[in-house]
Amino acid sequence: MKHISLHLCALCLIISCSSLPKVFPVTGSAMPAPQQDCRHVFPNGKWQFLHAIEATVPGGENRLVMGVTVISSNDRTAQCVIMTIEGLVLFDARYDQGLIINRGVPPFDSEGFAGGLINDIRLIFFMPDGPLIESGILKNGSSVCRHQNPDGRIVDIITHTDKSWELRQYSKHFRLTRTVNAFFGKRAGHSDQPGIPDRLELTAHGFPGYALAMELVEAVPLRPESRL
Amino acid sequence: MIMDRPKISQALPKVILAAAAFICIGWADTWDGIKAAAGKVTSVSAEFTQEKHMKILSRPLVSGGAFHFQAPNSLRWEYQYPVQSALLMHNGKTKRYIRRNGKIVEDAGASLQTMQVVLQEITLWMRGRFDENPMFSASLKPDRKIVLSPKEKALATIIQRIELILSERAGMMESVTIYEDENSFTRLEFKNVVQNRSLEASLFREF
Repeated sequence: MKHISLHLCALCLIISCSSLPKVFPVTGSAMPAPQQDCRHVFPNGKWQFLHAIEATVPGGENRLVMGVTVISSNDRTAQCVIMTIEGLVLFDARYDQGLIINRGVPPFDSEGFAGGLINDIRLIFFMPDGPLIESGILKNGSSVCRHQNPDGRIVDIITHTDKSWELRQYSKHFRLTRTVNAFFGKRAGHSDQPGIPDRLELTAHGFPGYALAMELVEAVPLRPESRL
Repeated sequence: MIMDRPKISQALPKVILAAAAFICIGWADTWDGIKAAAGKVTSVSAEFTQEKHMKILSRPLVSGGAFHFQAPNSLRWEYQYPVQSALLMHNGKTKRYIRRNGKIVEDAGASLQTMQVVLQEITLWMRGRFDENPMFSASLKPDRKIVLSPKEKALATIIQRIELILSERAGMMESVTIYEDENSFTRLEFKNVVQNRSLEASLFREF
């Protein structure tokens, strides 16, 4: 009991001490404004992506599935299909203001899973809902745009000098909840579309945590009138 | 017995018709014909192309690879692109292997159980036993088509129906289309088919 209390105290201390990384102002007119770099992180228009997704679930087990994501940045809608490598659809859902699950084969049929997945997709592919509250550079010199969403969550869009980028999502209590790292070129090398990462790595922090490594198989730009 | 001319002229078309009908009865016109043809097949190797069609896709997802079947129940179903992987079925055990970043990893995900059902189904097809599956009811249609419909509702939520087109060549399939629902289906087409070749047992055990 004493140990549990100690752990709880330590946890409360960690939570209460959580803080956001400090953002330093950009000095010198030669440096581009961080907002310019941040805009290039998210795909513009309508796209269809196919990723080979390696999911590491609690317990350390790995699962490989294929994920089709069709997104529209203009109306902020997304549709996601998860299937086996052999093409059997396990999950099919659409986000358009609200979530609609078209198909869910256990264990992919829970609303919690669907909601979490769509939130991850929105984090990866769409500019944050909320306004820019701060921008500049981090201690390591990377550019950062900090947004605060209406629900209080903070999203940092971080672009590094080698043009790779990172997203960090914090709870309203400044606890790190998600990180997304994007890699280009050498690591995967499938993309022939500029600005589309070859590999994305998402980590969900906390309990139960999980990680998704998404390797791009193809990225298809869709015509604006294409139905989503 | 000698037939007179009018009787011959009346009987001849009937005989020709009957002969033509006999010639036209292909290996794929009856369950017995299918089983008899498939019974002569001890192994099959073929390449396949798979197209996944879904309403949301602007163009189908294409994958491909090769498969090897050894009677009675050994199967290797291998994808060579876009992701290298293989389903191996041998001695009643099914395994899935995936090549990731140069390493071979065994995947035991929940979907493997479903794929095991599919693989068992394929081995039944290869043996011509379309009508012997407890999970699907089979109906034989014209033009070498077989339609399999799930008997149980639970399976019907995953697979609505399967349509197989048998090849003109005895004991082989031309295509398989798996309908998951009205908006989603997967079509497999086979080529470079080789039958009754001796296959190494390791094909069904190792990736």
